[in-house]
Amino acid sequence: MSQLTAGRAAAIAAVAACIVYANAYRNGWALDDSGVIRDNSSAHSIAAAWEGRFSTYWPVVQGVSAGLYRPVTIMSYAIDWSLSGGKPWWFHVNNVLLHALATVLVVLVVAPWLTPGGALAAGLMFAVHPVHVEAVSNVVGRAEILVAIGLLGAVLTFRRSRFAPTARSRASWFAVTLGLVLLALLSKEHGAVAVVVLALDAYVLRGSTRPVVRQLLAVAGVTIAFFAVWEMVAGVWVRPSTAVTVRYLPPEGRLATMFPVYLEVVRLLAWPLDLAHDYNPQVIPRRTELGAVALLGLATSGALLSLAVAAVRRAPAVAFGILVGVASYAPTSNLFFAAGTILGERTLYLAVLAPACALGWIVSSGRSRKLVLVASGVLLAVYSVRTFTRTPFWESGQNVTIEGVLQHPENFRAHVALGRLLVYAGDSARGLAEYLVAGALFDQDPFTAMWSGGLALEMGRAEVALAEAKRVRPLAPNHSAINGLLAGAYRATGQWDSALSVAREGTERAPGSRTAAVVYATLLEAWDAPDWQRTLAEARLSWRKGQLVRASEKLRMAEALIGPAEELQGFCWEIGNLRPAIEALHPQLLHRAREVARAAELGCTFEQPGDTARSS
Amino acid sequence: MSAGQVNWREHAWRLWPEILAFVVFAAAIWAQTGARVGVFFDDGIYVVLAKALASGEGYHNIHLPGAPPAVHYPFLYPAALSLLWQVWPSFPSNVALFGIFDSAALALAAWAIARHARRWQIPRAVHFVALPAGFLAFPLLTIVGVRFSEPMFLALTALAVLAADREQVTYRGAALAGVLAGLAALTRTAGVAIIGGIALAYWLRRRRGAAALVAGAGVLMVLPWIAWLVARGNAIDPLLAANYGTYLAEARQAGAAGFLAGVNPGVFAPLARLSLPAVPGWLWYPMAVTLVGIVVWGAVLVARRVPACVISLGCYLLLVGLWPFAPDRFVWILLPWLALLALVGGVDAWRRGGAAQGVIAVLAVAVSAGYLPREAISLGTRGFARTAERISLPFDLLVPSIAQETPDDAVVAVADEALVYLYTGRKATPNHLFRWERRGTEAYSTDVTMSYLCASGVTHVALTGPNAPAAPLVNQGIRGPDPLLTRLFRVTDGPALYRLTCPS
Repeated sequence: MSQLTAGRAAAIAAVAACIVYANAYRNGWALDDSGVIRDNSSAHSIAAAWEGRFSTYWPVVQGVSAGLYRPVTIMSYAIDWSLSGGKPWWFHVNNVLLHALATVLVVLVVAPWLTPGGALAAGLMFAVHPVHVEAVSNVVGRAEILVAIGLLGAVLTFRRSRFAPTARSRASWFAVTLGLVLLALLSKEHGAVAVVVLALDAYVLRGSTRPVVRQLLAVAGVTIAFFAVWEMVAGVWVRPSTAVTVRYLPPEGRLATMFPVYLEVVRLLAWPLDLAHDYNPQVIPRRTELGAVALLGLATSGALLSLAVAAVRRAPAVAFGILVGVASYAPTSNLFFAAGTILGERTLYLAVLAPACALGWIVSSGRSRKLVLVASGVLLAVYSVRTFTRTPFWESGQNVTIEGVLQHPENFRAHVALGRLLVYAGDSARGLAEYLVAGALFDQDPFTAMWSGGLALEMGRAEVALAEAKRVRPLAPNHSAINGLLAGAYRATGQWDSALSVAREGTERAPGSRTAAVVYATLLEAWDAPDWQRTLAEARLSWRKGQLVRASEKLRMAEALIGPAEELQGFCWEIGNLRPAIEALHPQLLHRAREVARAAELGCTFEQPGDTARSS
Repeated sequence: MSAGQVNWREHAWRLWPEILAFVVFAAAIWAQTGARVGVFFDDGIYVVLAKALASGEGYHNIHLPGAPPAVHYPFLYPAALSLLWQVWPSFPSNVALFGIFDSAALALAAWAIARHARRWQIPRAVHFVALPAGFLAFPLLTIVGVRFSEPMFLALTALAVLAADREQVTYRGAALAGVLAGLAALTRTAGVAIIGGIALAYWLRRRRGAAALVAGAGVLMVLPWIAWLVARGNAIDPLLAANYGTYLAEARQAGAAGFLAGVNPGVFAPLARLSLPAVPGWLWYPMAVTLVGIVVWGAVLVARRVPACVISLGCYLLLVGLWPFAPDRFVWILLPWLALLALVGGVDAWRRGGAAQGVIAVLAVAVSAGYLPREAISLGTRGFARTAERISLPFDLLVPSIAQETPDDAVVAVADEALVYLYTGRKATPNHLFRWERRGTEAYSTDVTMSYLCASGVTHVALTGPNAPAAPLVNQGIRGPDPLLTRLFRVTDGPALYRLTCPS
């Protein structure tokens, strides 16, 4: 060991990283790989990636995407695709190499605080830690690796900048630091913690009296600018991508759910033998009140943070590892805001610095040397075996789906995935059964019913569709698609009045929704409603699309089409619901409607906004 | 006071320009409005010109039929935006990038002004109070929240005076100041006052060579723009000259009477309106005059230390006051400096004691009652963005309809024509034509306007509301047995769209 240097330690750790992931090249595309890479044209050529440099990470499909913006990650896929022709093994090999590079950077970052042996132990722990499997063995995990490379690289160049002898070299190294921070930010939004990570490094690794506030302000400025761009590119998609476990929960409910998750995070970092690709309910249940487990989670988190602060002088590596781990986990901790995930092993990629630094410090301390070395060796060997055996789990989407249900049958989302797999395989009946199991396991996700109810309607199981739609509607009463599903289910069961009523409610509850207007217009068409009613429905749709010329025409036509008294069912509601459009575009129709309503004694006067709701 | 406290304060003082720049940058990003680009007319034209440059169509008003050359707005700000447009060519998403650029420009201005203010030799407390107050004042947030060239102009002006106001005058510094002032003039034409101001400051310091260098460098910078104006200045239809013609054309329209009226003392009115509470005139005017007097006194106090800054600001305000048509925002952009000068003058007057202290106390109470609540309400409710958002509202109805329901080759006559072009891709032209007349405007008759619309190939006329300036034109157009205008839709108390059928 006396020959060991930080450089050699880094090389050994990098080789270890490659060895434990030697079987990763056999993997294909799994889960998000398909949408983000395989089926995403932006990831298929460098030119397309450059063209889509201001597009969301997930391509917009049917007007839906996720609030993510990661152009560097997409560019890296595009480069891989161009070089390999889209062969997955190439992507996996590069993921492993990038992980090895991140491992090298870890060793170099912690080296100033540890002996070479300690740095090697830290590097090996980082290289073989099983929590990394999701990030390394699933191609889309690359975003985590790239952001770690950017942040760790920035730490190293920032140190160079701080300790550089001349102003020129300080500026040069800081420019590189800013570039690496930008690389991290554009790889994944987690890069936003760069300013915290750099500040922590300056706090823990002292030695230069030169102030770093200017540099940190510059990094913060770059981060703010990034988020201004991110907001324009992806901000609109943020809300729908809130994790389902904490969706619709008030902040205190979110925290009641999340505090126990922090315990699970600590468990995953310390003893990561039981792994899951998905931590949705009931792997992690939704909680609405603070319980004992939540308090234990809170206490553990607080104790770890206190330990880190207390260890800054005596064990700076430990302090740095814990603090950076906490900082890197913070964006997905759901502590300050609701994130898109409740827990993902890939999001703990950089947090592994905490156990890695702790192990490195223990080895460096030189106490009970033999015992420590043996114990460390055993631990690393166990981790290596677990990593090696876990990698094939990510072989394909099908494997992840089936193994996911087998390993964690309590996960409702795993049953949804299995249901989809069965439906694609042509086994709709079993697919529907899996969807229903998912709904039974966790009844707080309204979108499970979009699968189960939609499939049930297709299969002619209208009663099942109706039950599912009724079950989830209270969760998202203003959601147009769910209202559409319920209206469709009523229609399929021959309950036209209920169908029309739900469709009407849908247009009321989502006044700007085109989907709701389409659902209602389609229903009227199928029901063979009177011409005036269908024309008004078309006017509503045009109004919601912003086609004011067409909406005006339709309103004028409807005025002429208002027919005999026996065809005026729903008249009060139709006029009342369209009142803003009528008042804006064709107020004469309102006068005519008043006359008709009075003559036919319909009970609505349209004198005051809202009177129609009472009368209809 | 412990040593630690002293160090902390020294540290904060040393980092003050950077801290201020960061705070201003963050505030400016926060101030970005969701309103459509073009609600204030100029902002739309800048972005259209940026698009024209980025797409290789030259410095032309590509939104107008015939795409005449742009001779009203100097090209530097649109050119800067055009580079960003090339980086991110997707409008309106790329407006985020423009917002970042403007915010960075304002932050750069904050850094330069804070650095420059150290040479004023004034109490540190004045820096810590005046500069944040000036930069975070809601009118400035309004300006930086939309696409105006003022932040870039302020940054270049601040850098120019920073380069000029050195104790040791060097030719290198003078040349740099001249170049920066020239760039400021290429951003806003009023920047010529900065060139003249810095040159005059050197001249008064008996540095004739440096003065000549500043003037020479500044003029050299603006020469290409002057050459463009000479070559293309006459290409604008005289009916559009008020908004699209050269400043010379504006001056011609205004006539000598517009200038003979002298310097408008109301140039300081925006400052008083912002700062003082709404009280009866007999009370307001004396306070406003006192406030302006204190600003001037502050300028006198620092004039010896930073002559280029003070004289440039004076020249700029003189130009703005002399020019017949200068909006308030030409003054708002100077708010950080005006706040500094006011506080310098106020502190000095207070130190003199006696009656001066009483006056300053009254004025301090007045400003506290006037400016502070306005600022608090505006920042608390994002009121600074409300005007833009209110103007944007009718376009939320007009734009989707025009984009979906008019043919691709339609030409729309509308207010804020650049906005309509940017969001719909339809050529657009103003529906209300006017000319400058002394210190006001005079609308062209509806017949003249209608003839212009027909000659320009206009197919649709849009109104943003029933009281829009073009309403008389529409009222006339829809009358008669054979009306030129056919209503396609009209939103009650809102926008309307008409089809124009011109006699062949």
